Amino acid sequence: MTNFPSSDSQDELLAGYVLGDLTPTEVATIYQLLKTHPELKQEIDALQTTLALLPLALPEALPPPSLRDRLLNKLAENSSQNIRQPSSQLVPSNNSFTWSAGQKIASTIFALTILFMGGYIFHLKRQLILAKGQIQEQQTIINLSHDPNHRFFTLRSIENYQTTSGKLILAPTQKIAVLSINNLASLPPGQFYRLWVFDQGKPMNCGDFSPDQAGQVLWRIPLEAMLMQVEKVAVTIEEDPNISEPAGTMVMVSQDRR
Amino acid sequence: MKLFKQTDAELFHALCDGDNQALAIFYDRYGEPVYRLSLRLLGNTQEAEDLTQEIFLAFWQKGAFNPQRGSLLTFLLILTRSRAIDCLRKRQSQQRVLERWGKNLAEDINYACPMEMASIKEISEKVRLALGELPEPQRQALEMAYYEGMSQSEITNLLQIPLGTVKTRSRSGLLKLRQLLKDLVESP
Repeated sequence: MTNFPSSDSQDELLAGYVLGDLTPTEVATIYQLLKTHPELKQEIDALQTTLALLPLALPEALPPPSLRDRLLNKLAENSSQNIRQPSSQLVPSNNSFTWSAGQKIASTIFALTILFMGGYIFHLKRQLILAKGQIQEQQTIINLSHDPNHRFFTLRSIENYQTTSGKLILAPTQKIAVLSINNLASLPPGQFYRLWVFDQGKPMNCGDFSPDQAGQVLWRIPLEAMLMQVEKVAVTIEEDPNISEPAGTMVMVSQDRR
Repeated sequence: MKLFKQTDAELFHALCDGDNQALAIFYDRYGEPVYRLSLRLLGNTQEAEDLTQEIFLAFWQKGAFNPQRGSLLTFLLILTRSRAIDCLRKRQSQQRVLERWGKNLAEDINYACPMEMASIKEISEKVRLALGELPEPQRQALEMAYYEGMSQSEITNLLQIPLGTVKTRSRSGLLKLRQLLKDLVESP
């Protein structure tokens, strides 16, 4: 039987939890407390918000105006990359200029060379993106695994998503969770992937995400108190952003390791 | 004044619907506090600018924020601190964190006073006043844990005081701050 702490000790425990200085035994006590007193989640939220607001006490510091321009340029660049279609107009189909057979052969070889080089460069860039993504993923996961209270969920793919693999790491001390998925297919417009966590069988919407061009997801999610008691994780494909329970195709589910 | 603002929720939906201008408005609202924290944690303007840009782009790309679950300001500040601490850990072998402790950053800072930041300015003033009411040892322990990402045992080693004392100071400081800021941090 668990001995629950007095009110003052309880406040201290909650503060220690938010500051990340509890022992594993004390963290277990917090989980027990949250099960019997779910209203304490609000108190944890309030303490986390308090800590998050701490930097507002710093002197105000304006970023240079050029930063706003850089951000918006980058945004425009990324937006256009997402909708850019591959060009297929290397040789005009209807040209009044009459080419000789030799010119046609030479231009065809030239066009094929350009296509090959373009494809090769694209391949190299993709490899580079994949390598960078893997290094970044490993580094992030190593950092989070230092959290003494971290939890690790392996995500198992379902049916048509056998090449897809992923994991979710919850690092309560660092107040962060990271979702990492490889080989996830892009979805058509109007559909999106949604991450769900289950607390005592009840699903909770953690937000929507999409893979990058290489099919990778590395999504960092600020951790909230309710995520502490996660017993299962799932990813679904949804179309309606307002749903509160999974309704679409289930793509991945978790196997909790710890 | 409550932190949660309906206008942020409306803007977020516009952003989700593909209206990139919404991100510009979010930047106008919260770019300064994100940059302020980045600058404090990373210690130089170039990295602070890069991190600020990264935070807003990640926010746009991932759409991870759930407006029904809290304020965007809190969300962005938590994300900024997490990423900045990752950066600090990567460079820790080259530059010890302690060297930055107490460093004066004022020479690189542009002080802010635009009209649209009135609410951030108001919140900032409340946080400053509240922090000023904490006993110095509590404030110090809290700031070291927050800004330096230091564990309690690292603070113990640095300040040469027992671990229990460090825990008591930082926890008491946080609890007192929470009470002083209850109008800001409690759900409506």
